[in-house]
Amino acid sequence: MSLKSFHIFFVAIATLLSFGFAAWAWKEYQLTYASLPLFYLALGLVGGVGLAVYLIKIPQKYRELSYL
Amino acid sequence: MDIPYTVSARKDTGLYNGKLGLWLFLASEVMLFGGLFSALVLIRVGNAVWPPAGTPELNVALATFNTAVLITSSVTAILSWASLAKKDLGGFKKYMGITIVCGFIFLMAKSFEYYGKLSHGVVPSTNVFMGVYYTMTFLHVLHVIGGLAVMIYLWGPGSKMWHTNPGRFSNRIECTGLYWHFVDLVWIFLFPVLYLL
Repeated sequence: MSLKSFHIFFVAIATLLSFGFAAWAWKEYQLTYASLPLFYLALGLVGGVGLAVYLIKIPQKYRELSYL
Repeated sequence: MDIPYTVSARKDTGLYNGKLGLWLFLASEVMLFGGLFSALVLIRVGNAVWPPAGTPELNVALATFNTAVLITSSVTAILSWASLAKKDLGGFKKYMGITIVCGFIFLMAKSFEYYGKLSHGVVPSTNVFMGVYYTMTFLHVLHVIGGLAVMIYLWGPGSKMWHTNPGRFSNRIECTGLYWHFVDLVWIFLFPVLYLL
């Protein structure tokens, strides 16, 4: 497995973490109604979408690198 | 006599020597951190209340910032390798330099977090949660320091190899990137397990 393949795996896990973080923030907001969890929620959603878009673009962006 | 498979991959394994050695090393690292994560799960299910009563709150904001820093450093790590594939040593230096800076930012934020805890008397012996927290995060910090030492060498004096043996140097950068991704992946698991759940 090359760095390119491992990078794809890493970004996929980071994307899941980001959406999971957003879900945690939503749960926190429902418990406290504070503004900080809302900021975390936005951060998690924006980060997750950004990472997902990047994940889709990786094969094209690093086409000169091998998967093996 | 030249050592074979330092640049090109061996046909039966599909790997060059450095990558084979690095993956074997990472397999041992998976067992090391896997053992600690397993211990955490067992300790956690054995405690009715988690974290134990009286445990100080961890700094989620700082840990979130550090997570973003490490994810950014992984992107710049692969960009440094991609620059070498395009024969662009300047691009390599730029992206590897950013990766190194990200590593130092992570360490600074982590030491700030440790200082906040230790100055308030929160030490590993405070309770079982803090013991697990310090053990796992400090082991991770040691891995970050190790990765930084290698990257600083390859960014500085080690980059001379690019002019004499570019294929081998590029392989070294790939192996360093694989290690750095592993270190970042460990943090991706540590962050929710210790700070969120």
